This record gives sequence, structure tokens and C-alpha cells, in this order.
Amino acid sequence: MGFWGKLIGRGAGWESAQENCAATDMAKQRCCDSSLGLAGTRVGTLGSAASAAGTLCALLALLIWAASVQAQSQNGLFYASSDAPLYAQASDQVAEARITPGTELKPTGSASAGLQPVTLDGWMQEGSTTTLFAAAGQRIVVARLTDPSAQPKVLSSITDPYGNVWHETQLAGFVPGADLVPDQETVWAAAHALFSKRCSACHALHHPTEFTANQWPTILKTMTKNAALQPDQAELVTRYLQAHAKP
Amino acid sequence: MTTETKGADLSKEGIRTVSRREMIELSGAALAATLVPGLAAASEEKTVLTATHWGVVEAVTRDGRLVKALPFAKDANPTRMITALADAVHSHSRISYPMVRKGFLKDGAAGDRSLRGRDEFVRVSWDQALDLVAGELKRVKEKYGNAAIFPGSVDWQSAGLLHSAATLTRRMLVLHGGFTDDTGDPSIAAAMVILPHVVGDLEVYDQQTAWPMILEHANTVVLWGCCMVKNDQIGTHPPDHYAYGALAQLRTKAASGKIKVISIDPRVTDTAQYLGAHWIAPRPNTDTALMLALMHTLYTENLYDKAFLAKYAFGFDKFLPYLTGQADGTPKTPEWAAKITEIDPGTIRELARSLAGGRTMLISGYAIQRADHGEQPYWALVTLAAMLGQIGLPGGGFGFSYHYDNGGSLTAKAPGIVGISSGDNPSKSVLPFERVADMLLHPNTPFDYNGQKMTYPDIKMIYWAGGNPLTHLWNTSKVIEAWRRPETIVVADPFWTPTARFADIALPATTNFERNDVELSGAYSQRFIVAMHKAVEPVAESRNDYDIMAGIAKRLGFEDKFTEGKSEVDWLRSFYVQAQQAAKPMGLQMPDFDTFWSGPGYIEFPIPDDAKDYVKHADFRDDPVKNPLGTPSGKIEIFSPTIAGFNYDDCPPHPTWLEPTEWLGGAQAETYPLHIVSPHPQYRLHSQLDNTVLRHAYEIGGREPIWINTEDAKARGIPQGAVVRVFNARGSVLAGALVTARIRRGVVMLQEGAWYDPDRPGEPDAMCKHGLINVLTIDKGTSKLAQGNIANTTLVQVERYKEPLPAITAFTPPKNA
Repeated sequence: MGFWGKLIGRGAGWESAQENCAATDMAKQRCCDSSLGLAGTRVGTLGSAASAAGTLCALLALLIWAASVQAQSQNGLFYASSDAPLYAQASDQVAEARITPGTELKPTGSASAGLQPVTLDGWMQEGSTTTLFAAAGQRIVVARLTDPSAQPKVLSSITDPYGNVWHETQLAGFVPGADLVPDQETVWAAAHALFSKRCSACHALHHPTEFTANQWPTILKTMTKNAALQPDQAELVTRYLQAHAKP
Repeated sequence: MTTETKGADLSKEGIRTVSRREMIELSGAALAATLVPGLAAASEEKTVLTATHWGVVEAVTRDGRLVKALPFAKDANPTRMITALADAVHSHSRISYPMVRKGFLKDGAAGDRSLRGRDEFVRVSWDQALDLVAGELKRVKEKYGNAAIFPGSVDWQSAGLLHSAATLTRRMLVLHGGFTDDTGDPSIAAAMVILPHVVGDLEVYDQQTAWPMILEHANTVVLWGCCMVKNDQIGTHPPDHYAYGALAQLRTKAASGKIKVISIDPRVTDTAQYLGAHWIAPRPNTDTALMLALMHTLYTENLYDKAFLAKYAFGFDKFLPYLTGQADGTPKTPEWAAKITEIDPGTIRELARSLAGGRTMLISGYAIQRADHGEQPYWALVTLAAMLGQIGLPGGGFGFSYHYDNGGSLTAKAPGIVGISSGDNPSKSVLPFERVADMLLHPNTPFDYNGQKMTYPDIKMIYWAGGNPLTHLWNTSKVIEAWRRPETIVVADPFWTPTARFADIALPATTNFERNDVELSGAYSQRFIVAMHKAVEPVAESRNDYDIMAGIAKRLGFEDKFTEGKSEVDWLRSFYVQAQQAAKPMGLQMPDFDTFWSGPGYIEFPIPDDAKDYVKHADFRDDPVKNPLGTPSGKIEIFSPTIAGFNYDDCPPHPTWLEPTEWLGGAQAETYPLHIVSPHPQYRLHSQLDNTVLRHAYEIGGREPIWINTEDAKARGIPQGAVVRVFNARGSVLAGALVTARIRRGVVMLQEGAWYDPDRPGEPDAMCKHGLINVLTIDKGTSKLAQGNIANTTLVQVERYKEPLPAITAFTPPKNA
């Protein structure tokens, strides 16, 4: 498989690439610690890095992009690598929803013209027309509807112990292949590296299990400015913490 | 009891003018030269900008000595405490060289640990000291595992994003393979566990509703155990002192009758004095009972907001039977509360009607949750606010951080700046911080914490940097016993603090004035990024914590990973550049690092016009489905099914009055009839600056002042200024009596942080000659939920001390030092 093959592999490979990037040179740091999350498409912005490691990162990003479009996921599922648009139709220019990093998506066919058809399952609370959560009562945002005319499919409804009504909802559409990875650990490893670096300066690094999935978002909102996180970085770290939170 | 206090200038009670002679004698010619005109020497003065926990300051040096710290031009309300900073840097209480306890040098970990605190110290070279420390870290790791190493270090250290003693210690220990870390801190241990359950948020370290919203919209402001005048002088990041401008405006509004200010506190705080607040003085630790009675009145007189509770709260129906007495046969009426609080029922009813009669802002300090069952008053306060129904309205609801980091300041449009990271601790061993002594005394025993069953690790080595646990841990005699358990104790500090005296290895660290660093100013506002320019060379043989850690890292084989090959300025540049990059997409242009560093030395970020309109919880109020709270229900949980599931006898599933383990209404009050409270000091940052000339401005008889009510003093034959003995079953201290009507009967106050000065060093039952409160406090958790400290739950007796007064030796370094 060689050097490049190893890098395309699983979370550990990405982590070592991150470490590599986080070594002695500022340019390296900039490339891997930027506000770009994992998205490989914005290669142009990385192009300004002059150092060898900056070039390494750019190459890496290209490879991830190339790999992700072609990759067959191990369990047949895909995961959003960063904030990703969902288009109702392949020909649409305007997204119907934005999907959050790490969110699980089921392919419903093969990719074509760089777009992957998927469905996304989630739960919406009665009274909200915009937010899909991972589970009823678990406010892990998986997608936000941006099209007011969107008509997501409702599969079932329940009432929780607090009297809140939840609707099991399915979205279907197309996501750019460039925004998908076959392995969720890839996303979490990048999130963890960011969390570890930014969130252990003022205090000890907290364990994700210290708070519940419901508690983490508000706590992150307080901490975002202290950690100088950009909005998309904050989102990535929040999803990561929620995915590994106290049950 | 209640009284009206007249509006007054910032209180000078307890402060006397330091005489010119004292200044010259005690602080050295250099300091005297600056304070006594005419003695100034002819050599050249240099000034550089730097920053401290007291604010951004100009450091003035002459001939390589720090002469004084002057306020930053942009600090409209600097604290008087900065006049002592130069004295601290050149204090004779500095640790000058690395030193090792004689017994430890001779016998190592096998020696007699009861000698800690009273042994002689032997000077060693840095190489020797670092060899010793690294050797111990290696030995302990190999013999016992990484979880046997404990850094503690949740203290205030010194300001600076690179030279952060606690972070650097953790960074080194992470690379060494891990350590037992701690969670929580002594300020907010109960709050940080209960509030996420109740409102899904930390609250205590959050930016608050902007002061202008309170000034414009509130009719009533309640200060519940809260003194902004005192506490907003200092900040975790250099403070912007925003609060003082707001308080000046509040004073005007209070004087004109536009806003009613009520201070609920056992004493008249400086803030209450300044604002002319209405004073209500319940017995300490009875706040929950008072709040319940207020709620009962709101309920029975139909003054509560049913619609708000239905839409925004969960579980009121499960709490109501407790409130009305339907559940336990005891209605929580004002009459019921009067017996507990000693506040007249009529006053309680009037207060409830007053709160409901307009827009009310309930502001609490941290004091009421640093008491037995400290989770309850915070839960009750949120419930009271929920019943008033004004949470999320401008100038309404509750706030827990106006006294801390100048909450309520205007938030700037700023990128934020982050310092050096410590990284991932490979060890998963963690301790709720308050339980340090129990951990050391009862290793491998189980305990409860926030729904989990945990086990105390077995600690063999302590490396404490930038902190003073022998002053802030509770029940000193127990701490000294506990401190005898580890095999090795290393302390890194600029000063011979009580903690350094109990070390096996004492390493001299620099202060922020002796190194370069960078900070942000205004922890919440983030209004400035500040260059901290080195003002003077390291005093004696002191070294930066960074260099101490790098030296240890080198010996343990991971220096490269620790330093990442970066010099001090490389690190500072990297933090700055990261902020610069974050600033760009925000449309903010920051100059390059060199221009920033060698120019004015600070960047000021703009305050958006709408910063003054910020209302915490407004988005939740606006749309609780779109902006839910981080609780299981998404709402305020007056009843918590999660906590119910824990089945804790000392933390029921809704706000509950639980009798404290010691209090004026209990049996122990017959032996110890005075309740002692210990707020944060007025003229220190905890214990910092007690070793400076500043203490002569407030000490009485050379000791920490104890506030005692006029009647209580008279009954004991204690005149103003007398030295008294304060004691209970746990120990005794000497203090100087400040006899005053500003504290209610039955309550005395010793501010925390006075340096421990034992008459028999090293002995657990030594008397403290100087007035450290923790000789008297209890070491017990608030409940199984948060295991927070209960410092404000302590009963004592006070008597005039008639023996010859022992000399104060706390600030004299050990022999040979």
C-alpha cells in the first residue's frame, strides 16, 4: 500500500498525519489547525503554505478528496466530514438542508457527477420545523433544514417522559462526495485533535463523558470564545463530544 | 434583621493609612523612593506594559529592579492592590535557590515524612534538583504507575498564556505517561454539577446579561451573598474592571429610587455600603429556607408566573407538594423560615411581593454554594427566578457571575487567543478536586460523585505548581495528616508559601514580571490582547515554570515533544498568529506580531453596538424548542428525574431545605455559638500579596482581621483591635478584632487566604498565629452529587487572647534559604 495508502486508511493514519502537520513549523500548524475542518475541497486556501509540510497537507487533502469519492465504506454507510449540503434533487443549486460533521448517511445508489444519493434518519421535536436530532430527547443535531418549503418524511411519533412530542423523520437527497468519508472515526480523530489542542490550555482536558449529549452544546457555547474556535470548528468539536458523552 | 445603609464612598473600614516609616522599613528603599517624594534616585526609569490578575499594568523599573506597577491607561478603575506588586517581586519571602528538605535529601522517600513543614532545607544546584525530581517521577511511575502522580494545581498561579504553571505541569506529566487529574475547583464545585442538571449550562463561568440591560430595565436588584466591589478587582485573565462603571451608575439609580438594591448577606458588604442597599441578614447557610418561603408566598398570594412555568420549566408540579407541605406536613411558610433564618415573616412576605412587583434581577455570588448542601441554594434560586417568570427578559432572571471576571461587561468582537495546551492525559484517573485530603488518607476506597461510583487513587507523588493548597484546603490538621502520605512532594513557586514549607523539594519559579508572555484582558469581554513584556531578570536563581518543566522533560527523554523546538517568543508568536487568522474571517485586521510586540503592546477590539443589549437566556425564552436548554427535557428542571435516579439521601430531586452539619440552629451552637464565614479577601487574591507591604494596611495586631458584631464583642470583653483566639474542635487561630455593626450578631468573618503560621510547624494540631480560616473549617462534600467544599459551614467560639503575643513568622523564609 505504501506511504500514501497508509494515509488514506483509518483514523490512526489521519492522526499521524495530523501530528506530522503539528510539528515544528508554523505553516504546518496553520494548514492542519485551520478553520477548514477536514474538507479537502478548499485546496486553494492551503496552497499558500510554502513549507514542505504545507505541501504535504495539501496533497493529503487532495488524496482524501479523491479517495472519498471512490471509497467503498466498510459498513455501507457514509459520514459527513464537515458541514455538508443536502440537495433535494441532483440538479439543485440551493441546498435543502445542512448536515453536521460525523452524521451517518445511508447510500441509496451510486455516486454520479460527484453527488452521492443518501437518506438521513433523525428526530424532530414538535414545534420545530428546522432541526433534526439523532434521537428523541438526544439533542445531537444531525441536520438543519434551510429550505422552508422542505417536506421531510415523517415515519412515526412518540411522546417523551417530559411531555415533548418527537417525530421520526427521514430526509432524502444528494450530498457531494467530497464531503463524505467512509469511516466515522476519521471525523472524530480530527475533532479530538482540535479539542485536545484548544481545550487543554486553560484547564485540564475534560473527558467527553463528563457531560451528557444534551449538556455539551451549551457548555461549548460558553467555551468557544475561550478556545478561539471558529463556528465550524465549534460544531465539529460539539458533535464529537456529544457522540462520546455520558449516556 | 434589616437596616437601610446610606450610600457611601467605597468603604475604608478596616484600612488604615500605612505610615511613611512602615513603608521604608518594610519594603526597601526602592519602594519607599517611589512613595515618598524627595527620595527618588537619579538613575533612569524604564516602563514596559505587562498584565496580571489585578489588571493590565505598566511595570516601572530602575537599575534592574521593579519599582512600581502603574495602572494601564485604558483601565478606568484600577485596583489599589497593584501598589503591592513590586514589593512581591523583590520580597524577602522569595524562594532564592532550589532547596531540598534535609530529611528527604538524606533518606528520600523512605524518610520520616512527619518532618515536613518543620525540617531544615538544604540548598542544591538546579541540576541536582531536576535530577532528583525527574528521578522521582521515573521511580514512582515504574513502581506504582502513572495514576500515583497528582499535580493538584487548580489554583490561580500567575497570568500568562504560555507560562501557565498548571498547564505546563500537566503538559509534562501527559508526556510522562499520565497522572491523576482533578475536576472542578474550590470556587464553584457544587454549582458546576447542579446547574448543568437544572439549566443545562455552567452559568458560573458564562458572560452575563449586559449591565446596561439591568440599569435600564430592572426595578429591583438582589445581591445574594455577592460583593462585586471586592471581587471584580481581580480576574482569571487580567480584568477590564468594567463592573465599576456599571456600579457607579447603579448607585445613582439606587439613590434616586429608580432601582431598589437589596443585599442578602450576614454582613454589610462593600457593595451594599457603596450602593446604599437594603440589608437583610439571615443566619448563614439558611438561604434555601428563605428562598422556599419567598416561593411559598408567591404561590399562596398568586404572584407567580404560571404560564412561564408551563412553557419553560419541568417538574414544578412535583416540587409543589414539598413547598406547600402536602408531601412532608411542613408548609415552607415565612413563619417556618423565620425560625430557621431569623428573618421576620413580615419581611419575607414584603420581599416576595417586592420581587414580583416589578422587573427583578437575582444576582448571586459563589458564597452560598460553598456550604453544606450547597447545591440547594443555587437550585432554589433558579426555581425562584422561574416562578417570577422573568428569565430571559432584559434586566430579569438570575446571574451567577457578576462578581467574577466582571460578568455583565460588553463583549467585544474578538477572535479569542489560546495558549499552550497540556493535551490528552493517557490516565483516566480523575478526582473531584475538593476531596484531595480524603484521597490521600483513604486511597482505594469508593465514593459517590454525580451519579457515578468512583474510587480514590493511591497517590505517591505530588508536584504542585503555582498554588498554595496548605492555605486553601479545608481542615488544616487533616490536610497535614494527609500531606504526610505521599512519598515525594515537589512544589514550584516564587515564594516560601505555607505549601512550599511542607515540600520535600522546593523549586523557585519566576513571577510574570520576570518573563515574556501574552494575555487577553477581560475574560468575558475579550476586549484586549496584551503583550506581557519582561520587566526584570529572574530574581536570584528562580526559573520560569516552562524552563523547569523543559529541564525535567529533557531528563525523562521527551524534551522535543514538550518544547516542540520552540523558543519562548516562538510560542507567543504562534498564539498570536492563530488569533490573527481567526480574526480575518471576522473582518478584523491585527498587525503582525513584531509590530504588536514592540509597538503599544496591546490590541483593542471593537465593541459592537448591540453588545449592550445582550440578555442571557433570551433565545431560550424566545423559542424554547429551537433554543432548548441542555437538560433532558430542554427546559428548566425544578424536579430532576436524573438526580432522582441517583437516590442520594443528601441531594433530593428538587430544591430542599436540609440542615447543615453545623449551624446556629443546631445543637453544636451551644458550644460554638458563632458562625464564621470566609469570603474572598478584599486586599488579596486569595493568599497572593499577603506577603507584601499591603498586609500592613489591613492587619490588626499583625494578624488577619476578624469582623465581630459590637454586641458579641462586648459580651466577650473584646475591645476594638484586640488579638483574639478563634477556635472550635478542629483547631484554633489568632486574629485581630474588628468590632463593627456591619456584621450581624452570631456571625464572625475571617477573609480567606491569610498565610498559615503554625506555632508548632509540622504538627497537625498547631495553632495558627496569623488567622488562617481553614484551621477551623470542615472537610466534607456538599453532598454525594457534587462533593463540593463547605468552607462557609463552620461554627466557632471567640475569646480575648491574654497570653503574650507570639511573633509572626509566616513570611520569614526557612533557615539557609
